[in-house]
Amino acid sequence: MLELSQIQSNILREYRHGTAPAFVHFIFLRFGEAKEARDLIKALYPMVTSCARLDGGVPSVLNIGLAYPAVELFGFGGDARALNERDDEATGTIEAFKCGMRVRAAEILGDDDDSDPSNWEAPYRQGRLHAVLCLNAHTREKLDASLKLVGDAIASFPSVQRVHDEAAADFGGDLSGTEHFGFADGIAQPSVLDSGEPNYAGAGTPGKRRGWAPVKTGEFVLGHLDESGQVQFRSEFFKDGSFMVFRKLQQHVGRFRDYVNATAERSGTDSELVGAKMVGRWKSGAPLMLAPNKDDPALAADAKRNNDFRYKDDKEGKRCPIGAHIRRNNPREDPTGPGTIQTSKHRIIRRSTPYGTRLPEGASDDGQDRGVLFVVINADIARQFEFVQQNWVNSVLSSTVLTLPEDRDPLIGHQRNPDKAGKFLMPTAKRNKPPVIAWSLPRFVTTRGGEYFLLPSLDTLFHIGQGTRPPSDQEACESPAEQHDAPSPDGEVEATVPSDPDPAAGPGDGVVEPDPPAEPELVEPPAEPSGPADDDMSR
Amino acid sequence: MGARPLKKLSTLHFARVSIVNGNYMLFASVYDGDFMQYVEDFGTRIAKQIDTIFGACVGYPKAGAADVFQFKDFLAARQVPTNAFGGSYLDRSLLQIQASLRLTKCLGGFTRRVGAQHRRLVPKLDKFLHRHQDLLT
Repeated sequence: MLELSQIQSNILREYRHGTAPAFVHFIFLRFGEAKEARDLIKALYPMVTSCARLDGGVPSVLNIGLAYPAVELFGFGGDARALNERDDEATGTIEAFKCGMRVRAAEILGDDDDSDPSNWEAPYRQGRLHAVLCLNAHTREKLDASLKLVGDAIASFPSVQRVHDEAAADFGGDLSGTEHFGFADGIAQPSVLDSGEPNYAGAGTPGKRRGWAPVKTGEFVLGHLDESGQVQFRSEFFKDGSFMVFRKLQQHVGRFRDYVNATAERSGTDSELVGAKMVGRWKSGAPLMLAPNKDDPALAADAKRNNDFRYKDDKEGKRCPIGAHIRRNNPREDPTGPGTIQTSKHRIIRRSTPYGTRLPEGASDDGQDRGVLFVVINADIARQFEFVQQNWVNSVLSSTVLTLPEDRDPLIGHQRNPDKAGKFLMPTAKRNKPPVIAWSLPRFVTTRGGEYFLLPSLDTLFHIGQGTRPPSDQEACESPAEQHDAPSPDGEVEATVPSDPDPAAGPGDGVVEPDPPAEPELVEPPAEPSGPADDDMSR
Repeated sequence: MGARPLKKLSTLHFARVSIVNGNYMLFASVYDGDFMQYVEDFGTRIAKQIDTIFGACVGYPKAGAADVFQFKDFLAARQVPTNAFGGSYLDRSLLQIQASLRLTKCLGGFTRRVGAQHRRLVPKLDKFLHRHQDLLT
């Protein structure tokens, strides 16, 4: 069973359509002195929301993500390096995490031309970020109250630089849960084994004949059994954490609407249908596989039905085009795609919240910046997020039907410059009618920045705050490299840390305490230092 | 075992297995795209056949090709770089070449049957396109 009091809430909670928080705010930080950075973590620790705490009800949520430079600063770089050398599967994700998104963007994520990192917004382009604080709430007031507390905490540590803020909010009302292009977002999400969340049909891995099995925990929570039958990231530092991908994606709404309308007009069809074919769902979220001819809001509203489909009866893509956004990104058991086993190794949890004002229906482009703050939760950045982006969004290599590498994801793919732009084929079931082809796809989405973060367990955050090391789990110690008190391989200076000044104060002595929930049922980590820990990393 | 299992890999142009120096096996293949995707195709689509071919090799993963990560490392550690590589359609994927060839053939038949002057050219062409939708992707 999962220790839900150890796992940060944004890993397994509130990511489904309809449960997502309405107001989301990100604060990006760069640390100076390690001591102050630790003290900030210690101060924020009482507010950090675990899954268990969220289940008990909280007014607002705070989650903390650390980029690789912060892991080094806190003296845990050795854990990542040891893992990198020892662990076959973890190699890719640690490499990605170490480099950061900017280094991987052009080559792997396909961020070129206007999306090229050299064109990113300054905070994502200039120097590495150290940490992200993710705040959210269901009302503006509660978010603001939490923002004030967190802001005050940051301000009390002069060497901590508040580099940048991003704010996003749901459109509310009838438009709640939709993104700027007008489509319902966040419907198909993996159900995770033992997460305590419902396993809706269509959310997990399709069984041979029928039924859907939840995706193995280790695909989203580190240190648990994953789809390949292995347990990666066993060391206490990583266990019960996860990796978070943050991406700021600008959406060109006017361009999208114009293109869809022009394509519909040229081919004598309806623009709602052209848009739905590109996505694979109608605006309401009803999937084409279940509602091929017209939108069906009642179906879309039913979480038990709106994702319950397979592609096996649509090998030619006459209902849902083979290149459609949802079919590329989660091919299920698609006989023309990579197949069930391969798909199960590349699932991601998505959370996205729109930023910027909504362009009114029928209005022409107003030049305003709008898009989504897009977050992915996965255990292996390279195998999950990056793989999907590289092979399924920006290429066609998993398909047995799509043949042209230029034909990328019609919605989010980084189309090549106009003369090499891809097309999107919409096969038709109508007798003797030619398929509709959307030619010369422009880019509807531009990457504005992003970074990779680790979402450590509550225990790990506690120990970072205290300047101690998580007690090493003897069972997990299979090789000397994993013993936490072994000297770091590359001879970094390891100062002996003064023992915890006041172990009993533990998690309770933070400076901030939002609406005092009964002190959560956090499992209080044993606070005795288990060996020399690195502290003198601020050089 | 013939070439049948490899037909399941839509990115594989050619593969050749040979015995070198008596006790070494050389596996040479030409494929489209990313190494990881290719290895996963081995491990998830034709793992059994791959185990039959590679199973006797020193250092082969105990769980076979289905253990994609071990199998990837096994292959990567034994790769021999290609110093000279040539081909006629280096910028075309296998599926693309196959679809182009089939479409060319079908289109040839169509132009013979229905000339440019055919009075029902447009409906005929629509019907042709409908029948061959899969080749247009």
